[in-house]
Amino acid sequence: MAKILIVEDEKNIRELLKKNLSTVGHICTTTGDGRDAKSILSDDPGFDLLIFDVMLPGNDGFELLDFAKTTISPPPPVIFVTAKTSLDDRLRGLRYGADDYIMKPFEILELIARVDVVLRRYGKSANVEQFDDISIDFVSRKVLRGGVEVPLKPKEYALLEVLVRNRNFALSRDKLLSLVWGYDYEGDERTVDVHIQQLRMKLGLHNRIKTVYKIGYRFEM
Amino acid sequence: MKKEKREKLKIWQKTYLLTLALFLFCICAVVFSLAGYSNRKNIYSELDSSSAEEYYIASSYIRDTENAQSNEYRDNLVRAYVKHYRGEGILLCFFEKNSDGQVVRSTAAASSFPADTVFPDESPVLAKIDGKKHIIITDEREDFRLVYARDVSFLDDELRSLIVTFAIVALAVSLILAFALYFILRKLSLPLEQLRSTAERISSGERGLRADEEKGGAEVVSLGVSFNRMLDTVDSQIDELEANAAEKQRLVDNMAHELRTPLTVIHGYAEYMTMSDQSEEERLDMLGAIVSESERLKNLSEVLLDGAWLRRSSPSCERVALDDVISECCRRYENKAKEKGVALICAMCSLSVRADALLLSVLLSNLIDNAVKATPSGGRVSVAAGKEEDGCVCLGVSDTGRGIGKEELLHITEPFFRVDKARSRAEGGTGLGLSLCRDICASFGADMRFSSVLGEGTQVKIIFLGEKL
Repeated sequence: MAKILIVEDEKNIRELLKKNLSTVGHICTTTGDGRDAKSILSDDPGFDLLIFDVMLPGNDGFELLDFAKTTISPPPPVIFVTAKTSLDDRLRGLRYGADDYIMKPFEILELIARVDVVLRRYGKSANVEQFDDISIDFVSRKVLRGGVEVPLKPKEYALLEVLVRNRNFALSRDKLLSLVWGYDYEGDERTVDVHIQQLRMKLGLHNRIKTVYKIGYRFEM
Repeated sequence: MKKEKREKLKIWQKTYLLTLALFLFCICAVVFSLAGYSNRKNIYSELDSSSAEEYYIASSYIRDTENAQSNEYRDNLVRAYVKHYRGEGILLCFFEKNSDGQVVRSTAAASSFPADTVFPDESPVLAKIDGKKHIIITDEREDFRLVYARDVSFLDDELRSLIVTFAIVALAVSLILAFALYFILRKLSLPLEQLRSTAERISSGERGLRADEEKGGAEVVSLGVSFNRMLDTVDSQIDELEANAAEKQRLVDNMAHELRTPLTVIHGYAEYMTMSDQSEEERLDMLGAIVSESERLKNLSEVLLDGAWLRRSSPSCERVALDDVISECCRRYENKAKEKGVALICAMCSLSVRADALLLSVLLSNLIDNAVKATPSGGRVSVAAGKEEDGCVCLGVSDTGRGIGKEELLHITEPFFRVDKARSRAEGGTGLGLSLCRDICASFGADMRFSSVLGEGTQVKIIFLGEKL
């Protein structure tokens, strides 16, 4: 649940980023203008993460990066989002001080994962997730129900974590299989179903882990 | 490469060593011949004085023995002579002759020569006696033979010391020459060395550097001049290549942006809609965005294809009345201009050109569209046709808009070039419009010229080079 500022001049892409990140629980502020962004940052230095397009009218993303890193203390992480995908551009962005560099077009899950990683690196990501009577500790990989530890198989825990980190998004069995069991896994999609059943039963998540018709499973929160 | 580097002597080093060697050789030759000559002269002079002295001794002896009474007297005389001259370093040996002229005897006392001396047959002769060089003169007289020897070994010593002296002087002169020559030659070859090091620096990256065209002898200077000319040529070629490469990169970057932006929206929204829940209103909004972005892609691909088609085919050429084209295009943009508060003025004329009517219309529309976009409310866009100074027909669009900077003007007809570096959609398109216009002009042999002042306005002129009035 981080506070994120998105600066992107293309309205549709701006909205897309906001929708995606809000869905997994982040709080997003958006603007299409570099100057506007500067004044927002000056008024409110409490953003956990900044997402900038490299090509902005008025200032460019690098200028904004400089501004953010020098005027705010401690400097927040910055992710560049851009259509400039050449190696030189990527290196330039990373060397300049960006914490990550996402290329357009991007996939939702990739965006969410990269944001997560950067937040974790900066210690702005919660180590514990709580809902209903469940408490998940991401660091020790333990799940408590009503204060009592529930023993989960490794793949069950991994599946739970993927669902929770990508909450409110429906994930296909195929996707879950490759995210949790890896690309090389020769098994069946029914493995996913079985594990979902186990999670539901062990943790009472019948209302949280929903089956989405024709798509897969979604964790709702 | 390594083999060539292995100690190739420089020109100046070669010159130096050769000159030095030659000099030393000449000096040695001179020294030795001079010494030899001097020595020979000395010997001859000694010979002369020895001859004279011997003659004198012989004459004295004859005179002294003229009135000789007895053999004993003669013996004593001989002994006296021998002893006397021995004191002066001269060896004498008297041989008595009998009345037939044969040598009879010489007593030990009649000789100051060493006992085992072998007397030479010829006269005069240079021979060693007791290890020292002597001139030996054998004088045959009526009654006696006188052998005279004078020590001339000092001549050898003199010769040796002469040679040593000459050698030392030669060495001293050589050393001086060695130093002087070294510095002189070094200094002469310095400009060449500088040229080389300049070249070295340039090749390791200092591009603006040039050789010094003043220093050095005529050959070095002219080498420097040619060298610099070569560098200038190379530099300008490099600049051209770099500009080309930069233009290509810009093209790729801009095309990337134009393609990736709509794709991101289409893909992103579609993915979002499959993976999450949203309200009906939201869904309709997103679908609308997908449709409009798809249209953008469609337009983009059409313009790209038009451009490609244009380059491949030769369009039709018919007589087109400029009036018709102007009025049609102005009509198209009338409303847009009015909405924006911009005055769109068309001037009529009676000129015509050979061109493709449709393409000409596309071209003019593009220019008018750009002009209207660039002009703020209250401004003016004028479209007119006329004649250039050299008689060519021209068609022009001018506006009182925001103008274009000098730097930008250079690139303005490049595909995908946008003055707005952020490529925002609000006012601008994909940046292909003017590149298409350029292609259209090329297809009917026309030239497109821009002039602009920032903040004041822009004028674009299409000059139909084939149409002269």
